[in-house]
Amino acid sequence: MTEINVQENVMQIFSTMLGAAVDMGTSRINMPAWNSLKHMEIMFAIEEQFDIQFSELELSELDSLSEIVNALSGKYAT
Amino acid sequence: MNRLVDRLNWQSTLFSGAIPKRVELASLNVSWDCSTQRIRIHRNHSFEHIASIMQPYFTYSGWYGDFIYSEYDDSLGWAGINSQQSVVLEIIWLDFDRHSDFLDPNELFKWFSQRLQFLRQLTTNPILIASWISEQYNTDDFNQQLTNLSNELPGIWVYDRSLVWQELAGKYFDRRAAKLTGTNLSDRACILHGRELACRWLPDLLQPRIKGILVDLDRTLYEGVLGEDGVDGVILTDAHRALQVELLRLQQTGLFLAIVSRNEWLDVEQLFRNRPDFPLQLGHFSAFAVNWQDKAENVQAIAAQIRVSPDSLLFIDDNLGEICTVARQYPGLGSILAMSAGDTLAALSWYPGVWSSGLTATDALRVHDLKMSVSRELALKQAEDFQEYLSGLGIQLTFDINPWEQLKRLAELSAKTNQFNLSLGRWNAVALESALGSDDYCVVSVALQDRLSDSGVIGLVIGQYNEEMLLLKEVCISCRALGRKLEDIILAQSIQILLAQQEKLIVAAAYQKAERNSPALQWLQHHSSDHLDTRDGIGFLRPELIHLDLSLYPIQRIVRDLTGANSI
Repeated sequence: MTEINVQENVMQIFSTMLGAAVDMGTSRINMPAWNSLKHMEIMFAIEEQFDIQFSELELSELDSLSEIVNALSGKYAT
Repeated sequence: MNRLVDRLNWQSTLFSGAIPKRVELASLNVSWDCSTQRIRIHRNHSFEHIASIMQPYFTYSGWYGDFIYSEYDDSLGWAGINSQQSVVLEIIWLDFDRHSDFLDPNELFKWFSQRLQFLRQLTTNPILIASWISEQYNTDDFNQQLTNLSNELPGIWVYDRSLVWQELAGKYFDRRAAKLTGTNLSDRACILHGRELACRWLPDLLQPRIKGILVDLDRTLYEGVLGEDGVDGVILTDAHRALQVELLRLQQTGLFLAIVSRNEWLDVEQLFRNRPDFPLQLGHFSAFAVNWQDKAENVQAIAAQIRVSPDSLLFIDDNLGEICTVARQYPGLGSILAMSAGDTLAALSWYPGVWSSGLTATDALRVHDLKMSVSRELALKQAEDFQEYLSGLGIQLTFDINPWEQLKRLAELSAKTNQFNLSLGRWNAVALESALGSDDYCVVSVALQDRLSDSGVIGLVIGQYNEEMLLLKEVCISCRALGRKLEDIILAQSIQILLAQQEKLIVAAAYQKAERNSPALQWLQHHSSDHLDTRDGIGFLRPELIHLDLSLYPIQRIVRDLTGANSI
């Protein structure tokens, strides 16, 4: 999967789970609907979609769309 | 029509054989009005990740789940229980591991049972308790004690979580995310619990179970088209066999099966006669509409034949157009679009209202009982008069006064009876228990058997004594007992029993008008001097019914006073 595909897939998951349009600048600070409850459900949905597992630290600290895409790209690179 | 098409489109996501995906469930957006059902969650760990899974399933059924959460309360203080919000169900969702550092399992059960009995006194709502699943502790004895307690207290059920635990093997817990989610459960466990609760437990506790399944034949029960491929040409694949086996299992739990198919009757007869490899045989079906007529008309005809409303039926067909036509006529009818046999089986397995948590002896009697109704109708036609008809059937009616042991069956009867149900009071086990223990009420149950079948408990009458009046608060007769022309006898005897307990000059019956209870309303109108022109109210009963001379009827009547026997 290319980085663009990763990005598109992640954005799709976000917009479905949050019921709102998102872009690469979306973060927990500027998107109130991205609360702690939704955060975990989004992270689990991403794990399921990409068949990967985030570490405990990643689950708690990845709080912007771009950080999540970067982390995923890193997992695919390795 | 949008709602119907959306629902059919949702089918493969909601009722898949695989574990549903959270993101796919989240993509199912509401496009129709839903009624709200409020559910209170008493918890010491998070339930929200389960509730979010349940919502699309509720939407499919036309309602919205409004969850009210307790604090994370290990002490079970039942805070908020006295609020004025109308709640339909209490769910106790506990991680008992959290208590086990302080209490051994026996002490824990003792404490929990005291808290539960206190909650039982605070509310009449049904209570569903999630069983204890643990990696650290042996929970077998605790869960068994919990089940025993739920059998003793009215209106309490135990949700056995071990099925999900077994399905996920080592992936039930996910400690990695516990600090963030507020629960040790993995996301998959939350998804599976959400589906199990939304598709099975909540419909079972909050709605009447469906009463029958109407199935198409071609490309539904087997591969191929009977009219083109012939009896030996249609194929029973493994998946079709599994589907037929499941339908047969459901029939044995009391659901009627019927065939609605565009075919020639002779071909269908020949098919079942010459295909012993089919798990389903003609004798398993209670009704047939095999012809080239409009399927909506056929659904109506079958519903009338098995004496239920089309709203109580589930229709399975591989033709989208047929489903839409039928559903347009009967919006309350359930429908499954038969795709592959495996998908149809999965949809049937998860379809809300199909599963039942507890089957009673009466459930097993239902299908046989209906089959015998054909013989009864024949007897009625052949008899010279009504007396001869009754005499030939050898009818026995057993009237039990305040029958504590029948509490669950009577609650079920009140919840499920739609056609001959005057007030639609929907008395649950707790409300019934209260009536059974009160001097102001008397409860009469009616069991019916004749030489053709034993129908079990088919009637419930609850009388309330006011100053000068006996008011029938609840009058239910199961649809299985209708058509035998016994309503007057059953209700006159019940009234006479109630008046023998406390003499009153006036007898009236409470009623509420609804879509499906016209048989009961017509009966009341026939026996009442009042015009039942308001939406709800009471109708005063004429003396002719109250003092009906029951000795004129050749029926064996047994009256047993069980007041005080085995009270809880």
